[in-house]
Amino acid sequence: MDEPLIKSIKIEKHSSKNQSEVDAKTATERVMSTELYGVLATQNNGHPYTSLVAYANSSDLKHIIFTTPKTTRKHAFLESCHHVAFQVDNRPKEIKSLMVIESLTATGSAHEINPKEKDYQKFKGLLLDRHHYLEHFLASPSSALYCINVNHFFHVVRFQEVSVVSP
Amino acid sequence: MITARLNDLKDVSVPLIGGKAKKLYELNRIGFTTPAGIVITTKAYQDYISQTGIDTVIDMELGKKSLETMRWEELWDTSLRIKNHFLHNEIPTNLKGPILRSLDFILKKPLAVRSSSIKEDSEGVSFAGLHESFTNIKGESSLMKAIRMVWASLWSDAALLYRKELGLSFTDSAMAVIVQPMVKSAISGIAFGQDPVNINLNQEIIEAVNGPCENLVSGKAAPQKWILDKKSGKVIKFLADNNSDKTLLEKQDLSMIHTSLRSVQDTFGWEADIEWTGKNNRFTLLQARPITTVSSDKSDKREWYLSLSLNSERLKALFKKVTEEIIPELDKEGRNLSKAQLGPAMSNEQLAKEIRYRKTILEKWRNVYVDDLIPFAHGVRAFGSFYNQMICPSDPYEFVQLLSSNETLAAKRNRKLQKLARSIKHKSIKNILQPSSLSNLNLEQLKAQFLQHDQGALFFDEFKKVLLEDFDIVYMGKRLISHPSYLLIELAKILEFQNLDKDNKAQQIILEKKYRSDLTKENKIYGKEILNIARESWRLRDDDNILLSRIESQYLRALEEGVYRLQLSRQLFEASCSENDELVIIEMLLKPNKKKLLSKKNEEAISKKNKTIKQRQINGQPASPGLASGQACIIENAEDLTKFENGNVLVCNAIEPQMTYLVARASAVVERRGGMLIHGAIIARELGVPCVNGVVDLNVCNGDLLTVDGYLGIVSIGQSNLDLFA
Repeated sequence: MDEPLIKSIKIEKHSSKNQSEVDAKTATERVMSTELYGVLATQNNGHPYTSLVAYANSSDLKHIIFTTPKTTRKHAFLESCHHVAFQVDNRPKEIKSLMVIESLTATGSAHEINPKEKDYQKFKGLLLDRHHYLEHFLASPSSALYCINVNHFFHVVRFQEVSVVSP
Repeated sequence: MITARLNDLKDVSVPLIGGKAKKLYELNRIGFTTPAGIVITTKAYQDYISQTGIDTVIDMELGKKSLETMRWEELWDTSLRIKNHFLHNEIPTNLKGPILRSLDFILKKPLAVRSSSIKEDSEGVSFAGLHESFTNIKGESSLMKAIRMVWASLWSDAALLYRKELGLSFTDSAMAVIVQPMVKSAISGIAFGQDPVNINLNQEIIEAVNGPCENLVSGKAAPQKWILDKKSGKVIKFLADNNSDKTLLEKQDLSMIHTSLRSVQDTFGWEADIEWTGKNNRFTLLQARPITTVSSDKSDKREWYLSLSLNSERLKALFKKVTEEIIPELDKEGRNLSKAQLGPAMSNEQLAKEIRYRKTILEKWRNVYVDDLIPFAHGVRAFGSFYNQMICPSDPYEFVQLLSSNETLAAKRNRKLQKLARSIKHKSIKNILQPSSLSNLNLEQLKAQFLQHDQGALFFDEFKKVLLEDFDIVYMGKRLISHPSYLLIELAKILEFQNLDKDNKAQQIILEKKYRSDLTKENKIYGKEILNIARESWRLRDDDNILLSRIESQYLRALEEGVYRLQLSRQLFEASCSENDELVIIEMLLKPNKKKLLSKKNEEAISKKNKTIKQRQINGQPASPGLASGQACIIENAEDLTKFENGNVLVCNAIEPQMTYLVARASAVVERRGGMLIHGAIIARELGVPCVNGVVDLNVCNGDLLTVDGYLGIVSIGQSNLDLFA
């Protein structure tokens, strides 16, 4: 979907919010919490590369968690460049109306979380809560757990209506 | 509806209660005494797998690779992993509560927990007993576990084998469970409305044993058997063990069973296979199903595979036969053949006779391998299933650690090679061990080379001893003993390789202690016996291959003698031969003027690289944990054994016991044949080498960089940091 920049909204805890601000954040939370898979965009020497991954997110939208085998390209690319984009949408299998599809693009930086790090268990728990079947996968020493620290979410609805949510 | 009383069902649709429950309900309705009880509907199963997330696990297990490409070993593994999730996930309270409440009226009694699947037991199916049932279940915890095990048996290896006929799919398949109180009777048995073996349409069969029906089904007791005329119900024949002191069934009992069989046939329209218990007014029908029809398709090996799962009595009998008769005789036969002279004293006619004789011996032992040794190898699987049900380990293959043995013929041979390689200290001997200088030298030529150097004679004697004792075997149609240079090249490579012995003994002792202490009073004896059987089964599954290979080698030795003579008489110019050439060689030996060509070998190549489509990652089975990279070395024939460099990734169809010594020098192993309990997986785990197997469509060349993830079962080809612009 095309993404013309229309407005940028900073969601602040104590500020008064208009309806569209609230809607964009609520919609982002809703889409992120109901979908299971997203497209991770990495890059190598300036060339983009995308991968479909199972994800989970923190309730404050600040973190997106996923896992990958250490033998994959995305792991190699992430080791050399942390900048990523992450896309999630709620397209149904049979599209009846284009206008109700919501798409989110998150931008941020992805870092591998070492099992010894403080947040490892928390992030692992988040991912396994949504994708319990990854337990064996995550237990493997050949798997890496990643956390994207999200800078912005670009929420797109009604074909061209874009809001920026900065958690 | 989660549960319902069997004798008071409102909805009797098979998709909800399964075929067995529906039949019991109907039998009861037409007047048969059937045990009371409940049926736990398929809705409960569906709720359980969705609430625990097992539905996704099944989806992933079945979707990881095409089931069509899996051998039965892999289907067994898939089933084992799925079952393990059922073992580890308790039934959630919202399901457990209603189940226990509905069982309130029988909960204090010993219970039978039986499968009631949607497709099995239907009329016209060519299989039965694909799902499990458990008897004598006592207590809430054991009951809940038994229910989970019956649900899990929806995904038994046998069910996966018949998945097409069952219409098995993770989205649509479900299992109902019948829970009934055990019916205690002095006599029980089975009966068939027509002879199921001879397909004699006019005869009925009745079998009876003392005690419960399980005694008959498990093979614990030999039954008394009656053959009856179907129309009149008159006894045609009575068969009983000589030790039987009295007849278990009287005339009126036989008549009642005969009437029951006719009644089922009249009501349902099919000849029945029934299980019954009790006599006279306590006669109870435990179950009735249509007689399984025997498949007429000889190429369908599934019935043979199902026959491999032996009950404990048959396994014990086979254990005795294999260890006391078969293995010693197999060993003796190979040694005797190797001692026999085939030299010039033997005429061509005598040699032709000897070739035929050796082929007969080889065929005889190949049949024994299929009939007895493969079923005995299943002792390992029987133990694995028992261990997992008892211990519920997080790793479904933990039981393997209790079985590993350093006493197999292959392990002993591999240690001899290590020792022989370490004995090479003198530089002059090391210099001889250059692959280029060794190629194709025969034993006499090698001896001449070694005798030129200090300590050479001593080394050669030791080398020859190992060669004769351990390499009179065949790999891919070639006798390794005929190529002594192969062994010397291997020694040179072992010499350069730092071998790290992995000792798993301590862990084995801890696990065994835990296993023995976890055995209950009821299964203590069986637990010890099955561990003992599994250990022998584990050890002999390697040894039998090597011993059989020795007989094959001795058969080929006779063929090679024939080829040698035919070369001398200028009837033949080829030097190598195979089993397919036997008739041609014999014909030429008997007719001195005859000249013919030998067959050309048609070997299936592992890879033909496609230049436009490159593989990057491919799924297989995580057969031995670890992560390692190295250059691929494809082993497809005996000569390839000499090309394997230290640190290569060993790529082959299957690791055979004849070549397991290569695994110690490999950084990783990739096999086309899949299974967690096949030779390659076992040796790789014992040596701590990562292994992925069941990789059917691997498309690589020698020298390709492979990364083998033995934790997850993934093989990656090439570097991960591919230049995306190139």
